[in-house]
Amino acid sequence: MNEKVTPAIAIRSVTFGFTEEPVLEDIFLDIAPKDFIGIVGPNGSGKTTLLKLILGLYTPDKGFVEVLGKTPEKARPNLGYVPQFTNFDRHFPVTVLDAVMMGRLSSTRTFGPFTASDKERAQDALRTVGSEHLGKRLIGRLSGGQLQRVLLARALVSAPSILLLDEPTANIDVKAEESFFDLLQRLNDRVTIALVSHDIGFITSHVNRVACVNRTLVCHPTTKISSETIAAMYERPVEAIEHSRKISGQKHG
Amino acid sequence: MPTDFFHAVASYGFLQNAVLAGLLASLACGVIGTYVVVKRIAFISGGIAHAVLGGMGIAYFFGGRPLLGAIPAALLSAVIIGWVSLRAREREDTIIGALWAVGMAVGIMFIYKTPGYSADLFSYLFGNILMVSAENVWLVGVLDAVIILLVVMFFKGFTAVCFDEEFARVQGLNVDVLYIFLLCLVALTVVILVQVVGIVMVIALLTLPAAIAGQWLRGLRHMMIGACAAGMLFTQSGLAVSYTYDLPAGATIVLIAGVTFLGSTIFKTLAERGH
Repeated sequence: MNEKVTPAIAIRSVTFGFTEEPVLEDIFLDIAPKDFIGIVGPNGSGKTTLLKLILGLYTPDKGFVEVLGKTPEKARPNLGYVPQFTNFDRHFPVTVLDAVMMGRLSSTRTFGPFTASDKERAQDALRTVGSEHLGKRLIGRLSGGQLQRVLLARALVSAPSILLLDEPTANIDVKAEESFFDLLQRLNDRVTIALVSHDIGFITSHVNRVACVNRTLVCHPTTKISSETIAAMYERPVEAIEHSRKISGQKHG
Repeated sequence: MPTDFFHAVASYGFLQNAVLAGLLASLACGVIGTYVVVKRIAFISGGIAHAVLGGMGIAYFFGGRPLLGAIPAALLSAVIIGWVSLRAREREDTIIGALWAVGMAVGIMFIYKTPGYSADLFSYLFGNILMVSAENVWLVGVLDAVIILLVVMFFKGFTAVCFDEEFARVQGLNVDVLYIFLLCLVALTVVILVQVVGIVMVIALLTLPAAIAGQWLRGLRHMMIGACAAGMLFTQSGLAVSYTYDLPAGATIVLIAGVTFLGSTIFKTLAERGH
């Protein structure tokens, strides 16, 4: 029971802000290997910021973030990132296969085009998400659900051990959302997943744990809890986490 | 008559230079223009193009070859504008607009103070492809080779930075350096195009062929090849029309490109409605 697992992601006493006013304050969070955590909160609560701190896109003002025991920058080859749709131009003239290969940039050679093995891996990743038939299509010609799977394939193509997803279901219909979560649950056998969403009701039925963010953070177990995640959770007692603000209008699991 | 034009090309060296300069310029403009269009940096490219006049004016004043002054000026303005656009997000357009105008003012100042007749100013601004020397054709060829070689080497990185900057950063790419590097290649392309259509109209050749290619072709590579072909078509037909009807070459090239773009856009819209 007391077996200590090195957390996949360790966030310690992190404070971060773009101005004087912190967006996130004194955040503690451990995410165990193979955990599936949902990070929820209202708009502007800092949940995307938290994800970007894990990615090393932002540096904490106070505290630190460790990913697989390393700095986020050093751990990047092990991170798969699925950004929000608004991050890029949906009509950019790139085919699905070329877009997925961009997930190989951290692992492939620096100069010249992608290699045959990059292409093979991209095709494998598309197969994993059930989109191998879309390889030659332009990303602008995809439905929301199809594009979401392609972005997931791009994140998976370098075989990461951690997947970070930012509002992956914001632009897709309920049916596509259901099957997307089923896919994530299958992937969860191999990878740790942290998923940002504003929709707490839906994700609680799929994730192991919910972290509620609104400047500060508090963790809630959901009904489906594996023994591994319990171990990780009690490693840092829930009571130690400051819970100064309630998230209005949302139920805590 | 077009046949007259072909006969003239066969017999006049200056026309042969113009034809070659047009063909070679189309290569850089197709490849780099594609990035300008997909990354939506037409305004930034316009700023670089106009700031180049500063460097040309300074070179002219000191008796150097304006084109050789244009290269460092273009690279310097690309680095400054790139840095500004990365750092000063909310005031980006104001600062680029300022550099645009100040670069031109510097150029005009130096050209004005250069002793002698300043006829060249007009050809810098509006281009004079008929005056391109054999030496400059070589220079364009060398710049082409440099640009294409670098794009082949950095194709993945440039494309990733244009498509999804943040994802590229997470992949460990140095996004800022790649972006400024891409702007430097835009700057070199500007130097090439200045000779063909002049500073003021550079932006047309940098955007229109790639935009037309983008309406009909899939993927960046195809767009680049299509844009090169379109650029060649515009420069050569523009040259032939301007020679036949005694019109300014640069303006003719740009008008043909503009009309083709308009036609292509209308045709595309109708084709999509038909589906």
